[in-house]
Amino acid sequence: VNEPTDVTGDDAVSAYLDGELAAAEVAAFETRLGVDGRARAELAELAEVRSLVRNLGPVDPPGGFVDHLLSAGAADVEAEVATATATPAAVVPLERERARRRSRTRFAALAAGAAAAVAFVVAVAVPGQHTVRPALATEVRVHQAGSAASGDPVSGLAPLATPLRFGR
Amino acid sequence: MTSDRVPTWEEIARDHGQFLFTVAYRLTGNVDDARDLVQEALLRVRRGLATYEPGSLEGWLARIVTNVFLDDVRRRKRRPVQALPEEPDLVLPASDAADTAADAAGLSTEIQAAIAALPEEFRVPVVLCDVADRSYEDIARTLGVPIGTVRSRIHRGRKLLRAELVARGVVTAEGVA
Repeated sequence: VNEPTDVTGDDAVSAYLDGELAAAEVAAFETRLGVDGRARAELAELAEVRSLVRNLGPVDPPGGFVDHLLSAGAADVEAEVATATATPAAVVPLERERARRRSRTRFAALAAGAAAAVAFVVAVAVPGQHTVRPALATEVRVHQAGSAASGDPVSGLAPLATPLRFGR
Repeated sequence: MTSDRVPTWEEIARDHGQFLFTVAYRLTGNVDDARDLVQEALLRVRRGLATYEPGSLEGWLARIVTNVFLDDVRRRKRRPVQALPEEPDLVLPASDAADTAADAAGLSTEIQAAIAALPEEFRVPVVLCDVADRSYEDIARTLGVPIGTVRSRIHRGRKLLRAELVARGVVTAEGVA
């Protein structure tokens, strides 16, 4: 619900131009215009500004921008933005450089994502023996050897990366 | 645009990409930021389509692109950046006032630069009103402020814009230069 407008206030001028006054308010404001030269002058000035902005017209996106969005698809665009916003930047010297770097990062991320997807498909689709590096068995042996050397028979049984300590 | 059918993301990108880009460009004042803004806005559009209730599609889109812009403004305030003085490809070299007035493209560039010079609190409601053609009520809902605040900011924003246009020689104290 629109609030009533004080037609004696300055901002009634813009509300009048924008058709945001109720019928009774329009009548009251026009009565004011008849006697208030300053309001008439301001109405003319702001009508001109309003007209200039409204007549600017639409702005065409850069060539191929919408096509890029459509061909990349929403999922790819989302991945681009997620990657770009996750990229740390300790110092941002210039505004335009930031925008350009982000744009480059997005396309690099898209390419990297595509390469990773291909690698994943190849890895899953092509049967073969897979090696996990570093080998878990090797890690366990190294850990046990270290424990034996330190003379601590208990920590040799402990899970990797779980420090054990007895007493205070 | 009012329709009972919920459009697809692709339809919105194709049919309303120019609208989104226009609002984004008027808000940001440069192509790079406008492009980022539209890209992020379209992500939110895609996520929001499931809950979108058919109505004023452009009102909904304007709200989304505005929210993305304001989020970005808040983010930049937390991590200030050094802004460039001007966007060279958008600003014409200095010329005679008569040439500038006769050059429609130059006039648009000057008006856009004057819009970009407005503080965000005035620029956003002016752009939503005069570029996106939203009502005061819709703008108030988008910005989460009372209608009286919208009315006041649009009015003050236009007065500041006029002062900026006078300073740039686009209009004189008496009218268009």
